[in-house]
Amino acid sequence: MSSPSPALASFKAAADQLAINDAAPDWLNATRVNGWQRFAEMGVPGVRDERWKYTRLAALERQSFVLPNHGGALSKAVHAEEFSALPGLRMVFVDGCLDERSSRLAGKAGLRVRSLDNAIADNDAVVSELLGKIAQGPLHPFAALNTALLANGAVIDVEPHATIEEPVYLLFISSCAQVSLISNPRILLNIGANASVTVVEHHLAHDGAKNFVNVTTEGRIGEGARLEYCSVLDGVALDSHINGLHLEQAGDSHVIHNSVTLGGRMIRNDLHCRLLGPGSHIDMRGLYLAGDRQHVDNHTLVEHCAPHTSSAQDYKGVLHGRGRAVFNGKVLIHSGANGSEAHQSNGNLLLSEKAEIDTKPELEIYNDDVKCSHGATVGQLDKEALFYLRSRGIGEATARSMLTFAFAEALVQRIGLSDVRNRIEQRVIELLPESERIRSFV
Amino acid sequence: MSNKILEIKGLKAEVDGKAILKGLDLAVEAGEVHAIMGPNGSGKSTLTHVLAGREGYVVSGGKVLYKGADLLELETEERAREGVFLAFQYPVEIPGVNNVYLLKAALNAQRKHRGEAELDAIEFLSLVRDKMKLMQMDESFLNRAVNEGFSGGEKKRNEILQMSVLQPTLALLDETDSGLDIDALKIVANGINSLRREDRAIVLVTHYQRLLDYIEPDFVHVLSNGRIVKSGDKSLANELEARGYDWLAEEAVSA
Repeated sequence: MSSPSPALASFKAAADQLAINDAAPDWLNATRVNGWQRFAEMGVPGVRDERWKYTRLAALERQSFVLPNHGGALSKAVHAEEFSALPGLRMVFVDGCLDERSSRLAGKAGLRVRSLDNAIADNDAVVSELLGKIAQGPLHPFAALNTALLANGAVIDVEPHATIEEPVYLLFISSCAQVSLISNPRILLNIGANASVTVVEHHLAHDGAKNFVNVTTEGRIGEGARLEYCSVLDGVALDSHINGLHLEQAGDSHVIHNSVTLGGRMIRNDLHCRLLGPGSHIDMRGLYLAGDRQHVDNHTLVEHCAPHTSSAQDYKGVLHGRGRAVFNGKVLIHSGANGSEAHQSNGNLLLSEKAEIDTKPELEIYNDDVKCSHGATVGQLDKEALFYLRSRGIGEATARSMLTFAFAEALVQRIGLSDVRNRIEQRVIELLPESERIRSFV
Repeated sequence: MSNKILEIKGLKAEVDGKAILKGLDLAVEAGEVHAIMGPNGSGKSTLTHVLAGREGYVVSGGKVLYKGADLLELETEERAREGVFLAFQYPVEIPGVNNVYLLKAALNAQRKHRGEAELDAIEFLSLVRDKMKLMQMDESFLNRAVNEGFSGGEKKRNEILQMSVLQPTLALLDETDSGLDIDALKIVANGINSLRREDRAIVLVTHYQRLLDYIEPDFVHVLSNGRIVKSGDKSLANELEARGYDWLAEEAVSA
């Protein structure tokens, strides 16, 4: 047997370190050990794994990582890029550790937002009901790794029938450039029946930070509840980032997921949603940009497990330079899911000859009484639209920028929170090639 | 001094190797409205697209002078900034680009070209609001994506709104009446009439005489098989309405 990769060896060392040093309750240590065993069995997926065929982890495996220093001084909490105008509760994590000074955790009626370690120390019922219950199974090795290295994170608990007007904001900043850290935020969402809430998960990195951020989110969405979940992976400085969102939805619940990935060296987003109750619905919208030395992989899996469930996926990518992206969207309709409906579309704009997309929509259907559609497009800018803009006196380069922005904007404008929407619009303009031309129009 | 805005001499053009325009002559002076009529496939839309500079059309002969200078030398956007405007038969839907951005970008590109100061948001909005009243367009149009989800009538009104903002020297209106019900036709025609000026030339391309009931042309030309085969005044349009186009083709053959 070959010796473990540097990454794997460092993960093992981290797991051992946690087991020795941490004054965790026995059940938590047992959970971690179990997580490690499952991860060790699955291993770091290679290119022979169909789900990882187009996303190579070789570079990640060559690195070695250490855990963030618990309770250490949070040296560099620069928040210039955060959604500073967002009202409501917020938790700010710097290199995986909660920065309490920047966080705002006062209670709100019907809503509890707390750190995972506090929740664990208090034997919070949400932890025992959710932790490891939704993000599990052989498809998700990095969820198992997250469990093995479990330390920090957020618990969001919304009481039944509570309508939470202000969004809950989770900000994760990677700042350490001296050593390569692995941070493993775990987010638990418990949305009570008929409750309603918006959550923003926002990842930023400072230049030079070489972190591996491995996020696992588990959410249970109660009957009739509504959740709008925005995942924003902001920027070129993100290094290795694996983000798993795992949801279970009860009857008549309604989830909107806005996934925005604005670049990064190696980004993998997994969304696994199980529609367990009749009438449950998820609306998934994804925008991804990738340029030189950037790789963005979106894998989605929606399981329709009950009658009259519905899902809609609309993912769009803009690839330039040598940017690479992967989209794999799978819809699985189980035999009992009569009258279900699933629509999926993936559109890609390739702005250069070196850019690349691997797109694969998949439908697996075990029921005749369903309505499904899927489609993927890969293309350049619409020639008719270019001519139309130029015929109005707009120069060709500006017209191209306008149309490129417009392609992304079609998704951005559907984000419900104006603070988030406006900032993403600005970031998209900053990141698209030659987009300074259109700044004055947008 | 010549008042000629547009002078086309022996224009030949082809698409995918197929000759469409086969030696077309036309002269249009400032202040005039010309109607170009003709059956489907006669080359009407090709003419407007060649003049606007659409890719895919190869000019194989003849010349086009705009205000005395070679028009075909210019890129599409340069023509527009010089005052050539094409109202599309099928205006393009552009999701994600707001009407207001398009209008402002277009107007400021033109102003910059002329060496004038660009308008700021407030100046621009007050200008465009006045023009919208003329076209009976609701202000919500401004923040909608260009032509997206617009009805046929709304699209054509939007074209004329753009024309009224850009104030072209030469307006080419390609089948602007097609797909309009009578109320929308009146609004569009009214808008066009209000844009008639001594220093502006308008070329209407149309299959039917209907639009000419509302916009009275100074000249009517019949385009057939890539050439202007007959020119006359407004009464020619009525004759075409009564007799169709076939008699002209026969006349052209026997001539």
